[in-house]
Amino acid sequence: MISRVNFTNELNSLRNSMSEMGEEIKILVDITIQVLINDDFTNIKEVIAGEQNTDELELHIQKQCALLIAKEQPLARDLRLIISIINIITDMERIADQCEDICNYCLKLKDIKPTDNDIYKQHINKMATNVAKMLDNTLLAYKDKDVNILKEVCEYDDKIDAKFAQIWAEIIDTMRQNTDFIIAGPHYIMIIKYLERIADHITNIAEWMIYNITGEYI
Amino acid sequence: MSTIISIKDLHFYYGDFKALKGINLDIFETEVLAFIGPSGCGKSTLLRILNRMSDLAPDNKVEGSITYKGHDIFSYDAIELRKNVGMVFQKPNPFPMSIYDNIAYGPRMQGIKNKGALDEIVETSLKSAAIWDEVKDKLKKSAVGVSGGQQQRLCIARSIAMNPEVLLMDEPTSALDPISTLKIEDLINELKQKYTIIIVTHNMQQAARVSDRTAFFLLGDLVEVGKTDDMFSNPQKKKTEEYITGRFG
Repeated sequence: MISRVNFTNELNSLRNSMSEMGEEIKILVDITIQVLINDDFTNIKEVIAGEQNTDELELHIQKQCALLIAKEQPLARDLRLIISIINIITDMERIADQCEDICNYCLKLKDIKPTDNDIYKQHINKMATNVAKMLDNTLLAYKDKDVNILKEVCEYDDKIDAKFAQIWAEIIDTMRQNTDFIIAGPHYIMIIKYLERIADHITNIAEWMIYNITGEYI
Repeated sequence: MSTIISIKDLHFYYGDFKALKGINLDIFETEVLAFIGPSGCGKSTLLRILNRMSDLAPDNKVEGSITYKGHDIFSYDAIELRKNVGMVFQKPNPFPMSIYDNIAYGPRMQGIKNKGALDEIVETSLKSAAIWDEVKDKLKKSAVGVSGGQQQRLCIARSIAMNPEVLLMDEPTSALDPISTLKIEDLINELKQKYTIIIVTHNMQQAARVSDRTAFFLLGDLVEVGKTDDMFSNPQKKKTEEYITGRFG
């Protein structure tokens, strides 16, 4: 006979809340990428609203977790689930913040950015697309409990770090050669720094998902 | 850590009923080992076998071996064994006599008559059981007159007075209120500096709080034994996981 039916239902509700937050983050990242790559500002208000929504979701889930710990004294896989969710939602909320930050920098760049399509811009677009793919893979792998994909996500973070260093050098180089780029350059540097931080948060999420599934800290 | 008790291929029968099925387990010096499992899994049976409370009944049968410090416990005189392997029961069971006489009872039976020596044993034992300050002014009062939590610590002191090396505890806090329970748990933490403690408990959080290792029993089998920190965060066996997360039992 299966016991702790209420507790099991509450854990399922917690999982659903986290998935809902994950979907919300995915939408925010996708819109942010559209803003960044296509200068498509149509949905930028959704990013601001979405960021506020994730703040509320984070608080709601944190309260759910605290109550479950107090009421149910979870152990083993139940404990791992709750601990991982508490950490995952913190990283998700930070991603939402950074999407908003990137959008704000894109808005500032709207009027000042140079017209020529330099190589660094193509690299930024590629970096942004890869970061979005990291998030997609992470959310899908969690649904499938695919630890190998989650580990690949963690490893991929090194490539994003390397890409950040490469683009940063390209931007600095362009700023040296073209003084008109002195104003726009730091904005791009902030954008790639936020992209790099989003990749770090996705990596944290993947690590906590692995812990949830296997109990292994990586 | 060196092994103090070694259990090898232990089978135990209550008449026709097989209560333990081939248990293999080494117990280490000065560790706290928790036995957990649903009712009827054999954990209390095993605990009681360790100081020979089960095998002496005529219908019961034991196969396999248990050694205490390398010696077969079944060839020990039971009384001698129990001097070294003390037992604390679920319900506090002070003798209907004074607090002092409860603690001095065992040493007197061992032939210690000198009052100074007995006084010292009583004081040391009560201090070790963290109850000296509460009872030092009423040692001549009846032991059954103190609270349940104090009675249980008196019983622990009574066991300690025999200077054992192993303390067996069969659900020692299940009849106690939460504060008394925490006092006993603190006491276990103190006693492990000197004694090996094996505790049977139905309280998962208690096992997680007090023990170094945990052994999970089910239907007479030892399903899994391991470090408590691992058992309660990431058990290796599905049945263990289901039990400690409360999905069955």
